[in-house]
Amino acid sequence: MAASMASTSRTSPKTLNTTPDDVVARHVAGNYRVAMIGFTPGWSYLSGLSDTLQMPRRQNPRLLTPAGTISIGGVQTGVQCLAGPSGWHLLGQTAVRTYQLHRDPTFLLEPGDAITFASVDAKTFAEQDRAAEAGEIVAELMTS
Amino acid sequence: MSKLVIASIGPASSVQDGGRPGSQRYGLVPSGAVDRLALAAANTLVGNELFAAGVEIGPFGAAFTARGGAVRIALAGASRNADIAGRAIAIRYVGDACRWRDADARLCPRRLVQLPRHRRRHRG
Repeated sequence: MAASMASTSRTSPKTLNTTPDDVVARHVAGNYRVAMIGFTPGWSYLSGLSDTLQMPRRQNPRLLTPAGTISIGGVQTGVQCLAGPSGWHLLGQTAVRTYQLHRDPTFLLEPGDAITFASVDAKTFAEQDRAAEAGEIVAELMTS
Repeated sequence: MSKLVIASIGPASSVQDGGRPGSQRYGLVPSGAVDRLALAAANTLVGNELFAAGVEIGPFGAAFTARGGAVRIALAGASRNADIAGRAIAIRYVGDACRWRDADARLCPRRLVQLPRHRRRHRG
């Protein structure tokens, strides 16, 4: 793992030399596991990111990134629930709330959970976002 | 309706209740009063639920004003000097409830009691 990190740390986002659609396609092809939850409520660090998408964090962190941001930082990808600062590279957004105070369950994910992503169009995102705001779990729950 | 006005308050002061412990593993900080025993003592003295919200005062003290009627407050926690309208009141370890009407109260850390101006100048 240390060798892998060293080789990818020289990869900057510019050197990925590809298109946003291709980055999304590579990202949704992955099978991820929740490695840790922390930093802000529901911020889920995921292991299992493809070698081809690993990249060092930004030189200049953003002071504010949107709720639901999906991003890449080093060898990990992650989903944040709340808006907040981040030095990771932003890929997209999910309507799924990993933390919602008055919902049961308040926290959707546990360390060790398997996660996959699917791309959706803007209209579907807007519908899911409304449903999620009303307290629905818009993620599809898998049983293993 | 009577009001408690915070006339001045030092840094590291905030309104705190008992917090929401138990979800740190999900990144949710528990918050809540640093001195939970003092919060429970003060709430008990005024007849509140144990962990009802209170003003947790930082190291540099605070001043409050009662407006529009009687206000019942309790002071609890670390040893400090306090006065109501210039009259010193004793605070024992766990705290004391007191009641005053349309008056100013000050709470100072014991070591930062203000000396009269002329004496303070001599101490440089």
